[in-house]
This record gives sequence, structure tokens and C-alpha cells, in this order.
Amino acid sequence: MPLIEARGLVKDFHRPRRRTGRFAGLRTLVSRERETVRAVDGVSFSIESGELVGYLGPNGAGKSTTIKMLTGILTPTAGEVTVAGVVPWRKRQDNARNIGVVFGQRSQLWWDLPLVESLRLVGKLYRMPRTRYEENLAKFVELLDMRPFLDTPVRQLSLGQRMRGDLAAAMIYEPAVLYLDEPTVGLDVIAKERIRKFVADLSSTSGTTVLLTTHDMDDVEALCERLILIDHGKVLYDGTPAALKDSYAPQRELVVQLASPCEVTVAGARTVESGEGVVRLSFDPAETPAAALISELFGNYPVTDVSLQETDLEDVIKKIYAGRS
Amino acid sequence: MTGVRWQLRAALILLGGAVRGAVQYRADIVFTMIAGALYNGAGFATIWVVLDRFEVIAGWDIGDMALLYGMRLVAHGLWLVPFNQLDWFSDHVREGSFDRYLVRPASPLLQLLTTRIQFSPFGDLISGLVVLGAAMSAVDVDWGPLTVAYLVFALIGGALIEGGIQLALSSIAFRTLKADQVKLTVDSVFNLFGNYPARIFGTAGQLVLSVIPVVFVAYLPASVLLGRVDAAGLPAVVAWLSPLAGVVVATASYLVWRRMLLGYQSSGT
Amino acid sequence: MTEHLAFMRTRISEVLTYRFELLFQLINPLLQLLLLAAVWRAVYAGKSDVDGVSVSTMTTYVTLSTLHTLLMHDQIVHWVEQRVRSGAVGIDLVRPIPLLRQQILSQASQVAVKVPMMAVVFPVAVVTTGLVAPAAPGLYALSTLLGWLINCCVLLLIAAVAFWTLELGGMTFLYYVVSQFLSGALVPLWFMPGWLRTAVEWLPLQATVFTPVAIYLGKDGWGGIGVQAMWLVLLGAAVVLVWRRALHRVVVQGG
Ligand SMILES: Nc1ncnc2c1ncn2[C@@H]1O[C@H](COP(=O)(O)OP(=O)(O)OP(=O)(O)O)[C@@H](O)[C@H]1O
Ligand SMILES: [Mg+2]
Repeated sequence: MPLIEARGLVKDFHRPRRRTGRFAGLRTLVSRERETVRAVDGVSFSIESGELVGYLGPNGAGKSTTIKMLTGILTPTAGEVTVAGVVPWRKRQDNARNIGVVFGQRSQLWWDLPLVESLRLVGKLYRMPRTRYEENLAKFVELLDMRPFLDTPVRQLSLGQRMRGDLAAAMIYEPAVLYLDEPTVGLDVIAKERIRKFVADLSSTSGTTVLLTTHDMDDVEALCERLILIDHGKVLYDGTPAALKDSYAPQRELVVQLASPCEVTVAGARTVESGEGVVRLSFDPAETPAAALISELFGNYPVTDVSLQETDLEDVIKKIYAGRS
Repeated sequence: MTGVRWQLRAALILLGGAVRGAVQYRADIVFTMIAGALYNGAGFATIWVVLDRFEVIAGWDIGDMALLYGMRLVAHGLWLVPFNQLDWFSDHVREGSFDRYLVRPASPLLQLLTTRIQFSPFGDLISGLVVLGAAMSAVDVDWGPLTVAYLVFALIGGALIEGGIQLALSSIAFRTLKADQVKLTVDSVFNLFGNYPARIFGTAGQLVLSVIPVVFVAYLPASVLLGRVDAAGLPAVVAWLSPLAGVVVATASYLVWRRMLLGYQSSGT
Repeated sequence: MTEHLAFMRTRISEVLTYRFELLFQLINPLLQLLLLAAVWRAVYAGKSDVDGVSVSTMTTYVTLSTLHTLLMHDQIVHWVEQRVRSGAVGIDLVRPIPLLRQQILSQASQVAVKVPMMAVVFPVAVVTTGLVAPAAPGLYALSTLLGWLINCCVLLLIAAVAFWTLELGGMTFLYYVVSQFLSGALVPLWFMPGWLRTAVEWLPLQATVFTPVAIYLGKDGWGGIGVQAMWLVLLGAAVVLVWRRALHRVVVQGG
């Protein structure tokens, strides 16, 4: 049985319909009229134990809303969800013991307490045996390099420090599932790198199941074996990054260096750009194998070097977003 | 793991954190306690000044009035000491910071209440105890085990009524995002009208105050203790059983809260 | 003059942003009014007259003192505190209107908002508690104006503390509690025990609410106006002095 299972999840938000004009404030308050926004619209997926899944989509796609339903913060309007056999919104406290959550935008730590005190409280709330807690703390302090600010009140931490603290607080009690909602937003390159390494490590050594949302495709390239892409609350794609690239951007690019500038025309490839002895060719590997293309080039043109370009996930995603309604 | 014993232990753990956080604001502690006490002192001073000239109000002399005032204020303090964090509740809902209480293994309400420690409610409680203590020696009541036990139950019952009503009103914020003004207004009604014998407000007034139900907090039990169960037009047995009203109100309110919690919408950011 | 009007207009629209909260603020005085009227009727217990004060005089007293207290409630202390703490008072200083006059205009703006609010409260108050005809309308109007000005001075003195301490904490709340009592808003001076009455008479707060209402009821006259005028001169001078020093602080320390 999958660890996380969502079937036909729907979430509607209600907001009071804003009035305009005379006495707008009063009329907004008095009127019972509400407008409905469907943030998640029939999302289904199942995630096996140990998977590391990227949950992607443009702003307002419904990612955070889905995560809030998986964590038990929100009650679904329709559909079913179970996490480790528990229906989150029905049994919040049982669910809480199975999961760790980090929201990049908002800390879950105790604002007035030193970081180490926050972690200690979390350890106690999750009934960690003392020795186990100490072990994990030592390990996380090491992995996330938290020693310099362990005794600093959380309110005084920088964003990157706080995020590391939040990650530690979410994982110190060894939950089976970790939800990360934009954990790298606003962080510098080094901090991002450190967090990616931590998550990768956790996934491989502890077998933690991770669901990650992010707008940074480098996070995805570095971490995710599987992507779920949503837009307007509906799943567009569910599969590996490679298959996504293949289905949305089947064309690959070959950059050819020439000894002298000349016109290049090969069957099965299209010239994208040419000039100064460099030509970029686009081709579909399913129809024209790269090897055949390269040998044809070497046979007919003064080629000095060729290089095959990896398809950039960022470009693929950009293409998908741009093509949406 | 979600039973009462665990909730109590979780409360202690969280309170430990709140205490450690509060030590930073030590200067504020004394001042807010004094402010709370003075506010209540002014309320009683009004009654005292009026009765200095007029002696009785609807048959209640200064000692009787002090008993009523003290009982109401202690009940008020008893609910406010643990429940004062409800004041910030609608902010948490509006800003979505209520999220964090829903992903930890303890009751969300309990986590909300143990977020921070506030000291002004202790001022209310202490000044209430002072007035009540003075009143107990002034009134013509035979304080035996039975009457004292009744008093204690009445105080707890009163606390449960005020707390229950405020909890139910707070939970409106899960839907509307705002409930502060309504809460404040109802709190004012309790603070103003709960300190006087309900008879002075006429038949309509008594009816309203019985429904809200202000009279059950202190007026009915105080009149039972003083041996004048003339009760706001209600049968005498209702007056006698008034401490039970708190249990009913608090239970109903908690169910309302649980129901409304399912409608929590978090926030977009 | 035009800049004064423009200043007031912006202030009024600022106050109106919170019009919804303002409407709720009306509920509390109304509740207080109902309570006090019931209390006085109960203690009179059918007697028509106590110490030469009739029940209808007392209920009128309650109606009017509630309205006057509403008039005295003012955001100015809070505003000044905020401006000082955020350092925005530096911006206020370079406006074409002197800082102190800005504060008085602010208070006048709030009155402009509160008068229509009172138009809501007034009929309710009259119906539920009652009102007798004024003994001396002209004198009452004058006394109301003086009472309001005295209240302005007291608030400005409290607000000025913010220039030194940067925050007033619970001080405004404490003042609100104490002033209710000392201004006569809860109990008229004539029903206070002798020693308390003497103490209250020596303080300026009774001149804000009690004096005008007593004049309305014919229980005071030119004597009350005289005391008010004296307090206004004293407190006005104190305000000018204290604010001059406060401004000096801002200029020297850069806010
Ligand atoms: N608490 C709320 N109340 C009302 N509407 C909401 C609420 N939360 C989200 N929404 C709406 O639901 C839709 C989905 O929002 P959600 O936060 O799930 O998007 P997201 O995919 O996380 O976007 P982002 O990448 O910007 O974080 C948006 O249209 C948003 O305005
Ligand atoms: Mg989001």
C-alpha cells in the first residue's frame, strides 16, 4: 500500500464577496454572499515509501493547498487522502507524529526561545527518548552547520539559519514523511546547496519520503526522481524528469564547431542558429539517432568538435507554463 | 497518545517554553498586574461610593454586593488566566499562523493557550480574591464545608460560562476571520451587568441576561449563598443548580469550536 | 486657513478608515448608560428626591455624562506615541502648521467624526434613560467647550511623556480608568463621600464632564465656568511649556 495516497482531492476556498461603492465595508460584512475559488480540482496520486517527489506548478497552481490537506491543516472539500494509513484532517495528532513540515515562508519555531530550546521542546512533544534525541541533535548540528547559532533566539536568526533550524525541527523526531514547501526560497547558493545535500542524505540513508515544492529547477534536478506537475488545481504530468523532457521537449540540440564557416544541411535536423563557425542543430532522437547524425556531419563537413546539449528542465517547464490556457 | 494524560503533559512541556520566553519581559509583569487590579478597583469603587450614600440596591447591601462582585471577578480571573491567548486567536487565523498548531501532536486549542504567558489576568484574579475574602467575612453567611464547597463550584462554573461563551464566539473567526468586536462587546456585558443584582434591570433585562447567560456566572449562586433565591424570575432549583450551567456551556462551546475548526482556511501566503 | 482645513480633512479621512470599529465603540457607552440608569433607579427605590436631586435629574445626568465621556475619548495620545516612536514626528515638524496646533486640529477632527456618531447615541439615550430641559443652554455650551479644551490639554500632557520615554505602555489605559471616576462620569460629585468629593474638586478632571452636566441641570453656574477657565489657563500654559521642551528634545536629538 502506498504511503501517501490522494484520490480526487478538491479544495474550495470561500471568501466574502467584496462590495464596492457606498458603505462598501459595511455591506461586505452584512452580506452573506461568498465567492468560491477552487484551488485544488480533483488531484490524485500515490507515493510509495522512500520516494522523493517534486510537486511543481506555477504560482497559484494549488501546491501549498495540497500540502495543507496532506498535513491535516485543511479539510478537503471532496476526495480522499491517507498518509501512512491515517486520514490527516480526521486524526490530526496521530498524523502529526508521522510527518515533518517546513513552510519556507513561515517558521514553526518558538520565536522568543533560543533555537536549541525550540528543538528540545519539539523532542519532548514527540516523546523522543533522550539518547536518541541527543544523537539526532548532534548529527543535525553537524550536517546543517548549526553550531554558531544554536543559542540565538529564533527571532534574531537570518533566513538561511532559520530555515536550517526549521528543517532540523521537522526531522529530529524521525518522521516517515517530510513535506517541504519552498524550502529554498530566498536563500543564497551555498545555503541552497546545503539544504539539498541534507534532504538527499535523509532520503538515501533514512528512507524518508519527501514531497517538495519549489520554483527552483536546480532543486528538482538535484533531488527529484519523480515529478508531479499541476496547474489550475489539476495534475498535468506525473512521472520522471527524463520522461517529462522527452514528452514535452523531444528535440535535442547538437552544437557543431566548423573549421570554416559554411552552410550545413542534414536530413532529420533543423538549423536553429548558425554563424562564426558554430552551428546549432535541433533534432528528434527518436527519428534521427544522434550517432547517425554525428557520423553524417563528420563525413560531409569540416567538423572540429560536436557537443550534445542536455535538455534544461527550466526550459521545459517554461514551455509548459507558456503554453497553458 | 491523544488522551487527556498526554494533553496535560504536552501542556506542561509547552508552558515550560512559554515561561522561558516570558522572562525577557519581566518589567512588564508587575505593571500589567497593577493595571488589571486598578481597573477592577475602579469598578468596585463605583458600587462602594453609591452604596455609601444609598446603603442598599434592590435589597443588597455593600457586603452582599462585594460577595457578588468578588465572585464574578474571581470567576473572570479563573477563565482569563488560562484562556487569555484567545485574544490573539483571530490574528492567528487571519495570518495563517494557526497552521503550526495543526501539525503538532497536541490539541490545537491547548497549544494556542500555552503560546505565551500573560500576567494581567493574575491581577484580575488576585483583586477578585481580595474582594471576595473581605466579603466573606462581611456577609451573613454560615461558612461551613457545604457552603464553601458550593462557593468553589460556583466560581468554577462561572469561569466555565464566561470562558465557554468567549471560546464559542472566538471560533466564529474560523469562518469570518474576525470576531474581536463581538467578543469585546459580550465581554463588556459580562463585566458591567454581571456585577449587579439582575432584578434592577427589569423583566426584559433579566430575560436577556438569563439567556446570554450572565446571571448564572455570579448573581444566581450568590443569591443562593445569601439565602434569597428570588432568582431572575427563574425557578429556585435553577438557581441552586447554576454551577452546572458552566459545564453545559463549556461542553457545548468546545463542540462548536471543534466543528468550526474544520472550516479553517489557513491563508494564501 | 486653507492649510488648516486640508490638514483636518486628511485627519478625518484617517479616522474614518476605522469607521467600523468606531461604530462598535458606541456600544460600550450605550451599555454603560443602560447600566447606570438601572442602578440609579434601583437605589432611588421609588423615592422622588434624594438630597434635592430627583430621579429624572439623575437619569439626565447619566445620559449627558455618557455623551460627554464619548466626546472626551480621543486617539491623540496614541497618535503622538506612534509618531514619536516611528520618528515620523520629524516629518510633522516641517509641516507649515506648528506641531502643537496640528495636535489640536487632530482633536477637532475627531470631534467632527464623533458628532454624527453621537446623533446615533443620543435618541437611544433619551428614550432609554430620559432627559430634562437644560437650565442654561448658553452657559452649558460654553462650559462644554471649556471642558473639551481642558481635556485636550490633559491628553496633550500625557502624550508629551512619549517624547521622553518613547512609549506609554499601559499609561493610557490607566488614565482611561481613573478619569472615568475622577471626571464624574460614573458618579456625580454630589453623591460622593465628603473627603472624596473634596479631593476630586481639587483635580482638573471634574471640569471636563461633571461641570458642564451640572450646569445643564442648573446645579452649577458661573462659578463652575470660572473654575474651568482657571484650569484651562493653568493647563494650557503647562502644555505650551512641556511641548516646547519636547520639541527641543526632538530637534537636538534628531527624533
Ligand atoms: N486561505 C485561502 N483563502 C482563500 N484563497 C486561497 C487561500 N489559500 C490559497 N488560496 C487560493 O488558492 C489558489 C491556490 O493557492 P496555493 O497557495 O495552493 O498556490 P501555490 O501553488 O502554492 O502557489 P505559489 O507557488 O504561489 O506558492 C490561489 O488562487 C490562492 O489565491
Ligand atoms: Mg505555495
